[in-house]
Amino acid sequence: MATTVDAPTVATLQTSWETRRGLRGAIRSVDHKTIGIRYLVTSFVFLILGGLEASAMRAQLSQPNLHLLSPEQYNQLFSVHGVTMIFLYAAPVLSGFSNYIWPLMLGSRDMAFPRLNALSYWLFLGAGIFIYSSVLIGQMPNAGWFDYVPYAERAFDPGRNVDFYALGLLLLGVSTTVGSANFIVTLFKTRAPGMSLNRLPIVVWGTLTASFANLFAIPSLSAALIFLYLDRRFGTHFYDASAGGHPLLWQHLFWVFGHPWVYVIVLPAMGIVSDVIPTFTRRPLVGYTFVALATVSTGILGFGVWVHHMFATGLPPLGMSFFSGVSMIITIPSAVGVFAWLATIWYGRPWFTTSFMFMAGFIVLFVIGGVSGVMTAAVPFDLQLTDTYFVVAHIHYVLAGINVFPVIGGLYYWFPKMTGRMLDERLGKWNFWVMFIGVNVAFLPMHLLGLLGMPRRIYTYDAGLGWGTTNLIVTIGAYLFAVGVLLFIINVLVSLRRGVIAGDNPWDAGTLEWSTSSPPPPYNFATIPIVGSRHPLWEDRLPTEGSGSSIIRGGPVLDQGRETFGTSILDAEPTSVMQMPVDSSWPFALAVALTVVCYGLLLPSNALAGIGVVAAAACIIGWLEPMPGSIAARIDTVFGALPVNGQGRHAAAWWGMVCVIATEASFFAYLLASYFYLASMSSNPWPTGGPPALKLVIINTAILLVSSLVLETGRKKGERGQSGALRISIAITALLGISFLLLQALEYSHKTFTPTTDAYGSLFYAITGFHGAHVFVGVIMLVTLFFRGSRAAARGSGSGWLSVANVTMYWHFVDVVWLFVFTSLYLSPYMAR
Amino acid sequence: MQIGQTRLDTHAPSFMHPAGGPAGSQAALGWELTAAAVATVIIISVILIVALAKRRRPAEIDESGHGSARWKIKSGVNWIYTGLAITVVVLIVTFGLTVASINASTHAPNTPPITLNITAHQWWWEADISDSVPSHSFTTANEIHVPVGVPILVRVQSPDVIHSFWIPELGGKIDVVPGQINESWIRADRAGVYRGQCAEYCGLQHAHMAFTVVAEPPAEYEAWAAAQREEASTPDSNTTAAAGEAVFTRSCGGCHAVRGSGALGRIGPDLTHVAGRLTIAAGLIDNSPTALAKWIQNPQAMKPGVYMPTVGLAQTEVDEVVAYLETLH
Amino acid sequence: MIQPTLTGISGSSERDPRDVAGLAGKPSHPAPSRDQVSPFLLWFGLFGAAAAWSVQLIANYAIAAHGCFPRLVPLTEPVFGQATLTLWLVAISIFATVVGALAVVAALVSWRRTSDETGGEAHWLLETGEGRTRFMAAAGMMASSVFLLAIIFHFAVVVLLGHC
Repeated sequence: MATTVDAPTVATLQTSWETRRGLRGAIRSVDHKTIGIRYLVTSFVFLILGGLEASAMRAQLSQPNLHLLSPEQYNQLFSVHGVTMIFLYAAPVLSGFSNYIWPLMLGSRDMAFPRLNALSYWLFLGAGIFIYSSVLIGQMPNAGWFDYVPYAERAFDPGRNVDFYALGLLLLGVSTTVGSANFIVTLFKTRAPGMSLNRLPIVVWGTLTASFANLFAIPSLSAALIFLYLDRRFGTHFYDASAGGHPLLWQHLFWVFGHPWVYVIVLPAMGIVSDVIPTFTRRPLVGYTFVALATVSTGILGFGVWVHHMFATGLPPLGMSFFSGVSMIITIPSAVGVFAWLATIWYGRPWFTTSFMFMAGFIVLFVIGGVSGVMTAAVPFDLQLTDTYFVVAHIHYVLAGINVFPVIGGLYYWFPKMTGRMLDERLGKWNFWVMFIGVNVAFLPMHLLGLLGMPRRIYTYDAGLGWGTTNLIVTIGAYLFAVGVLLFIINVLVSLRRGVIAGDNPWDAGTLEWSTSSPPPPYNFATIPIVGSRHPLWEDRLPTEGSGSSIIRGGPVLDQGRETFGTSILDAEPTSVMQMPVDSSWPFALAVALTVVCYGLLLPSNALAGIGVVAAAACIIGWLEPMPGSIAARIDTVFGALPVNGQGRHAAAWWGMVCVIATEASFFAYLLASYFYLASMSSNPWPTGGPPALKLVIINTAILLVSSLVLETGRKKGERGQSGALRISIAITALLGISFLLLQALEYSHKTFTPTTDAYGSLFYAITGFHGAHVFVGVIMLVTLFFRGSRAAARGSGSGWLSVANVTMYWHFVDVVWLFVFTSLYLSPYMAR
Repeated sequence: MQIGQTRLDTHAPSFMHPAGGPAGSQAALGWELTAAAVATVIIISVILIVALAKRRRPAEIDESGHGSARWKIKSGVNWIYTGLAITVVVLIVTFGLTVASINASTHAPNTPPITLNITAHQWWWEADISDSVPSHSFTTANEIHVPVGVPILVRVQSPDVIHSFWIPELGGKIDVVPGQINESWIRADRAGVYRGQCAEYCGLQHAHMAFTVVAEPPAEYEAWAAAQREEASTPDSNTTAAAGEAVFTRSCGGCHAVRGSGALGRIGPDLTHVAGRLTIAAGLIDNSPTALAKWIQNPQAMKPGVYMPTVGLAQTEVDEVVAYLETLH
Repeated sequence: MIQPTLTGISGSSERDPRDVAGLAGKPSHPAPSRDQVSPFLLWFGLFGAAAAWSVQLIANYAIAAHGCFPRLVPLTEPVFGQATLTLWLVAISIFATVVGALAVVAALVSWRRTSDETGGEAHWLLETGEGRTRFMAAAGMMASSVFLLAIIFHFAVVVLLGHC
C-alpha cells in the first residue's frame, strides 16, 4: 500500500508489534487479529460439532418410533447441541469478528487490554474443551441447555453431566466477562481521534450493546450455576422446595441472563448486516441514528422480557402481562432495522455479491424469526406454543437466520481483509442458495410441528400422531443446510490457497478497516487515522457528510514501542498516548490454571483444585509485574504533549476497574434478589432462628465505613504529596479489613444453622461469604499496594497512581455492597415485622 | 408401537382443533397472530424482492465498477417513519387482543364443580378427582374422564421434577413445579378422546409421558366416576385371575395399589380399574392382554429407564397377572 | 461556535516536529455544539425513560407476583387486598409516565438547542448522524419515546387487568 511513512519507521513499527514465530510466539501473542481469527476458527469447529449432533438427532426423528439413539444418548445430544451452538459457537464467533475488526474499524492498533483479550480466548477454549471432555466418560450435559432444576439436581441426575455444564459455563462466563469489559474500554478509550460516538459502524454499536448486556447478565447465570454446583456437591438447598428453596429461582436467574444473551448473539450480527449492506448498495445506511439507537434500545429492553420464557410456570397473569407488553414493544427497534435495510436497498444500487445475498436473505429470516417471537409473546397463545417445536423453529430462525447468515455473509465480506484473498464467488452463490433453501426447508415446517402439538425434547414419537412426514422434510432440510455449511468450509480451504488476490479495498467500501493492507500489518495502521466522517474512504463521493476531511495517510505515527492514542469517550479527542503491553504467556498459563481448577471441582479433588488456585495466583502475580517501558510522563504528538496512559477517566485501567465493579455489583444484586425471592416464596419460616443478632454486625459495619474514610483521606493526602500518610492509611485500612473478617468468622461461630440446614442458611452463608471473599481480595490488593504501588506512586509513576485509584475504588465498592448486604440480611427481617 | 387411542380422530393433538375451555380463546388469538405474522413475512419479502429486482437507470447501477463520481443519495428516513407507524398500530392491536384473551381465558367463567388434582411423576400421571361431596373423591392414573360442557379446575403438583400438564385441544400448558401448586382449568365442549402429554423435559422418558382424556355426556361421566369409586372386585377363587391376584399382590403390590385387594403400593399408578383404560404405561401402547403381558415381562425394553423393574415372573405367572388385571374394570 | 481542531486535554500548541503537513487542524471537531447542552440533559434524554421503565417493571412485577402468588398456591384476591394492589401499581405507573415524559421533553430541548450543529435538514442528520451532540439528542428523542410507549403499555395492563 502507498504510505507516507518511510521505511525505517515501518521497520520500527514492525519490530515493535510483530509476534515471534513458532509455538512460543503463538502462545504468547496478544495481537487482536490473531485472537480474532482463533475465535472464528474455534467457534466454527464447535459449529461443526453442534451440526454433527444435530444430524444424529434429525436421523432419529426422521421417522416415528426409530431406535437409532437411546433416550439417554438423545438427551445428551440435544443438551450438548444447545450448549455448543448457543454458548460455544454463536457468541464466540461474534467475539471473533469484533476482535478482528474493531481496532481496524476504530483506527486503533489493538484492543485496550491485549493480554485480557488473549486470556478471554484461552478461557473460551478451556471451557469448550472442558465441556467436551465429558464425552470421554460418556456423561455429556443431559438436562437441556437451560438445565432446569430439580431435574438437574443430583437426586435426579447423579452423573457428572450437569457438573460439566455448570463448571464449564462458569469458566466461559469469566471469558465472556473479560472480553466484554475489554470491548467496552476499547470503545471508550482507543478510538482514532475524531471517531466520535456518532461515527461508529453499527457492528460496533452491536458489540458494545452486547458487551454491556454481558456485564450485567452473566453474573445472574454465574449465581445460578454456583447455587447449582453447591446444591449438587455440598447439599445446600437453593433450589430445594422441601427445605425453603425454590426451583423457579433457577428459572428467574437463568432467563434474566438468557434473554439478554439472545441479543448478545444477534445484535452484533445485525450490526454486520447494517455495515455490509451499504457497501453493496453503494450508499450510506438509511437512518443511521435510528439503527444505532435501536441497537441500544433492544439491549436495554432485552433485560425486561425474561418472564416470557416462564409463562407456563403458574405466575400471576397480571405479572405476565407486563412482560408480554415489553416482549411486543421490543419489536419496534427490530422494525427500525428492517425498514432501514429495505430502504437502503431500495434507494441503493445493489451489487449482487455472495456477501450481499447472505445479507438480503437474512432479512427474510430475520422477519420470520421476529414474528414468531411476537406470537410467543402473547401469553394465552404461548401457553400452547411454549415447549413445542414452534419454539424450536423460532430459536433456529434466530440462531441460524440471524446469527449464521450474517456471520457467513460477513466472512465473505471480511475474508479478503483477513487473508488477502477473495473467497470464490461462484461457489459462494451455490453456498448461499443451498443454505437458504436448507434453512427454510428445515425450520419452516418446524413451526407446523409445534402447532400440531409436537413437544420439544422427545426422543421419538408415535406414528399415529401425524408428525412423521413433516419430520422427514425437516430432516432433509437440515442435511441440506449442513451441505451448505460444508460448501462454505470448502470455499474457505480452497480460497486460502487459490483465491484471487484482494488488494486493500476489494469492495470499494467506506470504513477504516479497508484503508490498510490485506491482511493488515501487525500494527494495523502505519499512521493513526484522524477521522472526519462516518465513511472516511467515501468522502469524495459523499461530500455532504461530516467535515469530510479524514486524514488516512500522513497522520501521526507513534512508533516508540507499542503505542496508540487514548481518546475521550464521546468525541474521541486524544487525551493520552497508551502504551500497550508486549506479548506474554501469562494469559495462556492463567487460563490453563483456571481450567485445572474446574477439573478439580468436577472430580471433585480438592488437591487438584488447590493446585489450580495456587497456579492461578502465581500467574496473576507474574502478570502484574510492571512492564519495562518508556517512563516518560508525556509524549509529544501532533495534538500536543499527551500524558502516557492518563489518569482517572482518561485511563483505560480506571475504566477496566469500573467494568469489574459493574459486573460484581450486579452479581451481588442477583444474590440479594435471590434472598428476597426466596423470602417471599419459601415454605419455611424466614429467617431461620428469627431475625439475626445485630451487635457484632453493627460493629463490623462501622469498621468498614471507617476503613473507607481512612483510605479516601489517605489517597487525598497522597495526591497532595504526603506519601507517608497514604501508606499509613493503606496499612490501617488493611488491618480494619482483617478485623472485619475475623469478626465475621466470630459471628459465623454463633450461628445455629449451617449452609446445609435450609435455603435460608445456604443464602446467608453464600451472600456473606461472597462478600467476605471480596473483602479478602481487597485486603490482598491493599497489601500489594502498600509494598508496591504506593511506593511507585510516591516516585511519581503514573501506573502507581492508577493502582492507588483503582484499589481505593474497589475498596469503596466492597463497603457499599456491605451496606446493601447489611440492610437486606440483617435489617429487613426487623422491618418486615 | 402403535399409539393407543385408535379411537382418536386421525389428526394430531393440536390446539388448531380446540374442543373448548381456554383452548378456544387461545386458538382464536393464535389464528389472528398467525395471520398477522404470515402477512408481515409476505409483505416484507415482496418489498425486498422488488427492491432487489426493480429496474434502475444505467447510472444507478454499479456492478463493482467502482465509479468514483459523486453519488446522489436519496434520504430513506420516511421508510422508517412509515414502518414504525404501521408497527406500532399492529402492536397496539395485538397487545389489546392478548390482554383481552388473558382476561377471557385465565379463569373459568363459572366456578368449576369438579377438581382434578394431578400429581405428575417421572413418567406417569396420578389423578385425584373430587367434587363438592367429600366421599366422592377417587384416585386413578394416566386416564381421566370428564363431563362435556363442565369446567374442571386443574391443580397440579410434583413430588420429583418439573413437568407440564398439557391437553392441546382443551387448554394451554400449566407447569407442574415442585414447591407450589399451580392451577388451570379445562372444559371439553365436544365428546371425544383427547391426548394430553408432558410438555416440560423431565428425563429419560419425557417422550412417553402421555395421558388420555375421555370427554363424554354428563350421565356417562357420572357412571364412570361411580365405577371408579368402587373397590376392585375379588376374582372367583380357583380361577387364573385369582392366582394372578396372589402373584400381583406379592410381586407388584409393593408399588401398585388395587383398592380392595392386598396391593397397597403408592409408588406406581393405581391399577384398581386398569382394564377400563385405553392405554397403558402413560400412553405408550394400547391396552390389550398381549401388550400388558409384554409390558410386565420387560418394561425396560419398551420404555427404557422407566422406574418399573423387570420383576422376573415366569410366563405362567405373567399370564395369571394379565388375567387378573383384565378383571379390573 | 465551531472549534477548528480536535483539541487534546493538554491544549498545548506545540507541534510534533514530524507534522510536516500541518495536519493538526484539519478535521473539525465532531461536536461543535457540545457546550450548548448540559450533559445531564443529554443523558437524561437518552436514558431517563429507560430508567423509569425499569423501575416500573421491576417494582410492579414484584408487587403483583408477591401479591397474587405469595407461596404454595395462587390467590384470586391479593394478599394485601385489591385496593392496596391497585394503589401501588397505579402510583408507580404514574411516576414512571411522568419521568418518561420528562425525558422526552429533555431530549427535545437538547435537539432544539443544537439545531445549528450541522448543516442540512433534520432528515439528513438522521441519515448520517453527523454532529455528536445532536446525534445524542435525536437518539434520546427516539429512545425516550420507545420507553414511554413501553411504560404506557404497562400502564394499560394495570388499568385493564389490574387483578390477580
